Amino acid sequence: MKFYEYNVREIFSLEGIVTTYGEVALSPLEAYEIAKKMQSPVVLKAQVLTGGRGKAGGVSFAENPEAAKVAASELFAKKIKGYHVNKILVAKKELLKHEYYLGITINFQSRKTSLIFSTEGGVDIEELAVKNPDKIVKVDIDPVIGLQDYHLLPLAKTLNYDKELFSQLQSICKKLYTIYTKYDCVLVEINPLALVEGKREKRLIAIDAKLESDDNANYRQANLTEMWDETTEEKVELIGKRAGFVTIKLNGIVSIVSNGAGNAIYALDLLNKYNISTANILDLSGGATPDKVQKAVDVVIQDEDVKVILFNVFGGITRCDEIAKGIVQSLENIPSNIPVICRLQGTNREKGIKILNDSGLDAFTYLEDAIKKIVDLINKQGDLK
Amino acid sequence: MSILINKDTKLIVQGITGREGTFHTRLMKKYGTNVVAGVTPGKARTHVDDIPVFDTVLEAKMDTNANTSILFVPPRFTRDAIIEACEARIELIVTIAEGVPLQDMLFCVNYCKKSDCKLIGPNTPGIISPGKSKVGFMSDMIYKEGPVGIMSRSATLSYEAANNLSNEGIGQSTVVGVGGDPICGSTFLDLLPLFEQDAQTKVILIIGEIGGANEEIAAQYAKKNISKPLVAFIAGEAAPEGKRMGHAGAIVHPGGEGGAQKKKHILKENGVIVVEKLTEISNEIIKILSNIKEVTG
Repeated sequence: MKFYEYNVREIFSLEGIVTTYGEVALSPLEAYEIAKKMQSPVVLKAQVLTGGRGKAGGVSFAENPEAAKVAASELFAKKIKGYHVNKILVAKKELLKHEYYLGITINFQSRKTSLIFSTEGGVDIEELAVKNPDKIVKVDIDPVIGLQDYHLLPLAKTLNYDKELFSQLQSICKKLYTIYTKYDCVLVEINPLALVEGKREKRLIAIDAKLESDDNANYRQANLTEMWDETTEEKVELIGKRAGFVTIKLNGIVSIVSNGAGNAIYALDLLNKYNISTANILDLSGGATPDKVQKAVDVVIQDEDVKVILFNVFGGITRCDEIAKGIVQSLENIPSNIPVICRLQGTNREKGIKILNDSGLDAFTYLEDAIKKIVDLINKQGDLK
Repeated sequence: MSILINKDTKLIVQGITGREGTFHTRLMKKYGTNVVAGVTPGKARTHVDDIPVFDTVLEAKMDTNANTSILFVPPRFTRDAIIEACEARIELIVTIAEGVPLQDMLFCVNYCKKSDCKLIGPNTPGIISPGKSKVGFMSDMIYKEGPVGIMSRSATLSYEAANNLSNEGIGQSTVVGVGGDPICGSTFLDLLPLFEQDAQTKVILIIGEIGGANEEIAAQYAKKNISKPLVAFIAGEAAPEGKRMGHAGAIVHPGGEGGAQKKKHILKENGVIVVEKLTEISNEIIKILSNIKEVTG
C-alpha cells in the first residue's frame, strides 16, 4: 500500500520524528484559514501518490493567506502526473540550510535491509545514483541483527563528524528503522531531511515523508489499512481484492482466470502474439473450490471491457474437477454473448474435462489450442473487438 | 543423483493435519517419498494413516532423524514454523504458502543462512526429483526421470515445461520451484552450483519472468562458473510497465528495469539459450543432448 505524505507525517509524529507544522486543506478557503492560523509563509503540497511532484508543478509557496488561497485553487485544478488533487498539505515554510536524503528499504538483490543516506537530498535519489553515486552511502543491515550503532558510522563521516548533527541523525535513523519494521515497510523515506537553523539551535526536520508498505502484511497492519485510500485502486482490482483475489486490470478484451500468475502471464504473452489484448487477469491461487471459482467469475464480469473469458488451469494443488464444477456453477451468471474458453491440465484433468463436456463446454488440454480458439472466435465475430 | 531431495530424504510435514497437509502427505507417500512424521501443535500421539504426529519439530526430528521439512502452514505462521524447523536442525525447509510478509521472509532467509539450512520458497509448489522423491504438491504424473534440471519462479509454467519435456521422452533430474515472491529462500544463483555438481543433470533450464534481476545474476555467474548448458524461458513480454503481474515479484519498473526484453538480452549475452515459446524447450534440449552425446561418444 502507498500512502499520502500527510498520512506518513502522522506516523512520523507518532514515532517521534519531527516534521514541519502543517495541516490538510480540502478547499482553497481551508488553505486560507490554515495559513492565517500559522501567521507565516507556507508551502502548499499536492497530496498525490507519485514521485517527482515538485517538478510536475505540485508544490507552491505563498507569503500570506490570500496568496495561499490562490495557490491552493490553482493546485486543486491541476493534474499531477495524471493524478487529481483532492487534498493539499499546507505547511509552515522553513528556511532549509541543507537538504539530506534518508531512506530505509528492502534490498531485493542482497535480501537484506538497506539504509541509504546522502548529503545531496531534495533531488530524485535514482537520478543521483546515476549522476553522483559517491554522494550516496548505502549500508546493508542484516534483519536478524537489526540496526546497530556501528552501521551508522559511515554516515558520521559524511557529516564531517559533527557531533551535534550526527547525534540527531542517529536518533532519526533509529526511529525510522523502528517504523520500517513496525509498519512492514517496503520503503520509508525522508527526502529531504533538512537542516533548519533556529535562533539557538540547528535541527534536522523531515520536510517530506514517503512510505510504502507490504500488502502481504495487511492482516497485521490495521492502522495502515484504515489510513489507506482505496479510491486510488482500479475498480476491478479493488473488487477482486475484496473478494480475496489478486486481480490485475489491463485495457483489452480477454479475461484470463488462472490458477497461477505465471501461467496467466504466459497466456497474456500468447494472446499478444496474435494482437489480442487482455482485459484483466485474476489469479485463483492454488486449491480453488467451485465456490471460489464462482466468486472469481462474479468479479471479472463486472469489468465492462471483457468480451471473452479464458480459464487457464494447470493444476498442481488445484484440482481440475473442482475448477470445472465452479465454471459450470457460474455459467448462468455469465452474459450469453461472452464466450467461455476452458483449458484444463494437471491434477484430475480427465474428471474436469468430463464435467465441462457434460455441460456442453469445450475443454482444451493445451493452452496454444485454447488461444487459437479465441483467435478464431474473434476473427469470426468481428464485433467482439 | 538429483539435487536437494532423493531416496535418502526423510520428510516431516508441518501442518499435516490441515486439509491440504493431509491430502498432499498421502500423495507424496504414494509417490514414494519417505514421510516419517508430521507436526501439528496439540496433536501429538495421533496419526495420519501410519505417520506419527508430534507437537514440535524438535520432537519429531529426535524421534525420526528427519532431514527435510515441508510447511503446509498459512502465511502468518510461516516465519515461526521456519525458525522452529531451522532451530531443530532440519537441513532443508520447503515453504509453500503464498502471501508471507516480506520482512518475515527477509528474516528467515538470513536466519537460515547462518545455520547452513537450505530454504526453498515461499509461494512454491515445492521440489520433485522424479523417481526418487516429491516434496510438494505438483501433479507428479507429468514428470519423468532424466537429465534436465529445472528451476522456476512460476509453478504453473514449471508444470508446462516438465510436461513438454516428458512428452518428448526427456526426463528431469530435479525440478525446483524457487517461488514467485521477490524474497525467496534460494535464488537461481544459489541452486546453480548444486546442479553443476549433480552427475545426473546434463542441462539446466530456467523458467523466469519479469521483475528483479535473479535471471541476469544467475546468467552472469554461470558464464564463468557453470560448465553445463543453460536454457531459459522468460514470461511477461507483453506485461505493461509499473504493474505487479500477480506474483509479488513480477513487476517491470517504469524505465524498463526488470523487463523481459532486457533479461533475455543479458541472458543471451552470457551464453544462455533463450527460447521464445515453452513448446520450443524440448527442441532445444534435444539438440543440446545429442551434441553432448557426440562429444562424449
